[in-house]
Amino acid sequence: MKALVFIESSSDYFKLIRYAQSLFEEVCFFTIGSEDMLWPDISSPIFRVLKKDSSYHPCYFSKIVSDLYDQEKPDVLLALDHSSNRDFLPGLSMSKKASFFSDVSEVRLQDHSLFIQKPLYTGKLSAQLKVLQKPCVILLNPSALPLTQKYEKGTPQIQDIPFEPFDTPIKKITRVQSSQVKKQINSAEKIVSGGRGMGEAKNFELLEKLAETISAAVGASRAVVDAGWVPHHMQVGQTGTLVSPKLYIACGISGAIQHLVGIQGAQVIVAINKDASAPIFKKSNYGLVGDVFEIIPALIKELSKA
Amino acid sequence: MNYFVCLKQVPDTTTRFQLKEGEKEVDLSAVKWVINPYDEFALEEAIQWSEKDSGKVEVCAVGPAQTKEALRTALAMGAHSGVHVHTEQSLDSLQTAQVIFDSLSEKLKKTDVIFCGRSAVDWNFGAFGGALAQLLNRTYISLAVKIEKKENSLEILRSVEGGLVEILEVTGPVVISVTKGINTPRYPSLPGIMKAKNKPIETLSAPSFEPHFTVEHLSFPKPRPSVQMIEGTADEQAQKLVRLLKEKEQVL
Repeated sequence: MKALVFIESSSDYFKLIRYAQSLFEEVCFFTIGSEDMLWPDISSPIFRVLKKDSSYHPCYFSKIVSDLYDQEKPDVLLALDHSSNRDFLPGLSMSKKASFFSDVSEVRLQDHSLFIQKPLYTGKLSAQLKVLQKPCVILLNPSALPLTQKYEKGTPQIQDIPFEPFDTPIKKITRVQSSQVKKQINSAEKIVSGGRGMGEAKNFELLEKLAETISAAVGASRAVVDAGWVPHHMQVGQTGTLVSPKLYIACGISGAIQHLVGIQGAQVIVAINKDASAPIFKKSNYGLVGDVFEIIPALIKELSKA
Repeated sequence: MNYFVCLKQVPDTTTRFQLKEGEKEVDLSAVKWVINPYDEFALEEAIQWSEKDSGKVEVCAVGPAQTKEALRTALAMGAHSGVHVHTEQSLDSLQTAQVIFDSLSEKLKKTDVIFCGRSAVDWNFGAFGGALAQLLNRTYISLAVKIEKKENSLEILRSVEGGLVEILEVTGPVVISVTKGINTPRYPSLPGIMKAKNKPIETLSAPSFEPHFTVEHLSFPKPRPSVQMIEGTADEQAQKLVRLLKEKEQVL
């Protein structure tokens, strides 16, 4: 089975290279606008599209990947699941009559058949699917990639492909940072999250401080996002981001089911809440009943000791 | 202007699921069905636009007989007419886009803006809008949190990872998928519910499709070991927790 794999310099791409190589007999990789990217010593073909930069443009990316797809005729087009790949790859799947699978947590090959594991109902269930329609486009959840040792940097053969911008219905794309984000919750290994029990918006400073102490990202429950305390991109749960960090510390979050399904991928969950009957405790590994305004400062103090 | 909204009916987000024997199918018999939350944002956006320019909003949903309830709710919220494309088959995003394109392409051509939600909370493929746009040869803009009409174009804010916002200026026909943050969907009012009873819902039927995949097995996530409560004063709790996280769990 042959795979064409989209490698992005902004991601932990060594993991994706190793994952693709371990799965498929034949793999080729490509990147868009990342000329100075480091590559390991691999013998698979690497295509480097010479776009001025790697920033996303739906029409350019569609055209580039469509051309490569026609040239390589893969059975599987593999990429990471994120906002831009979800933006242009569904249309590409449609035009190539390929099936499309996103939010994929595992790909497996068995007797020349392709099997996919993915969460259903935001993780309340997990489904194993057998792919019947090939070719297919698979978007892998970044958090699903197994940890690997870093490759040694190498000097593989790279084929450069020229790219010329063209006229599109999209006249302009500008990018702005909507709010100060130190760490993103979707890829963070540790997350400190706050809910109604934090009292008011400005008390999130306390969570920021705790997060800084352990280099964690700060998340929030739906209730406080809806109340306007913090922006939506910080929301953990069903209509926010599903997270799977090593450590999740829920502060003053009672634990609505939509929140709980959003954190069930976490390795260790700690809940701090003044209400001993809060549902979050049932889904946690460690529970601390008490005042967040006493416990969080005590935690910061304890963590700063080491 | 004419607006078109594609909806999906999904189990209520608080549903606790049961599996049927064989663990390949979910038992949906006792499920409460709702409009997919992201599609509600799409619907609200279309209704708000139509209120501003006295336009018309048509809603469409593909699915079994009960899907009509979702359309009726959408009409009660303020949509003007509905199309139910009936199928008992479970279709994926690409097939759903194909069905809507095949059944309604003439109507869609006359539509100025097509709205849908970023993804459905059941299967989370998130491919419908992009696939439909491809079939219609329209530009697809996903994850919109703000849409503004300019003289000859639309200015659309996309909310992407890490709090980054992309601002796109687009000309020509579009399919837009929206996400949370764009608006607050209204509840159907009582007069709205009464009026909806007399609004038209057209029923079409979908052809059958070769499935793109089969479900081999469904499972529940592994339960977490039962919680260990940490007692004491705040300082004692903090000390015990940090020790456990460092030594036992090795996550610090």
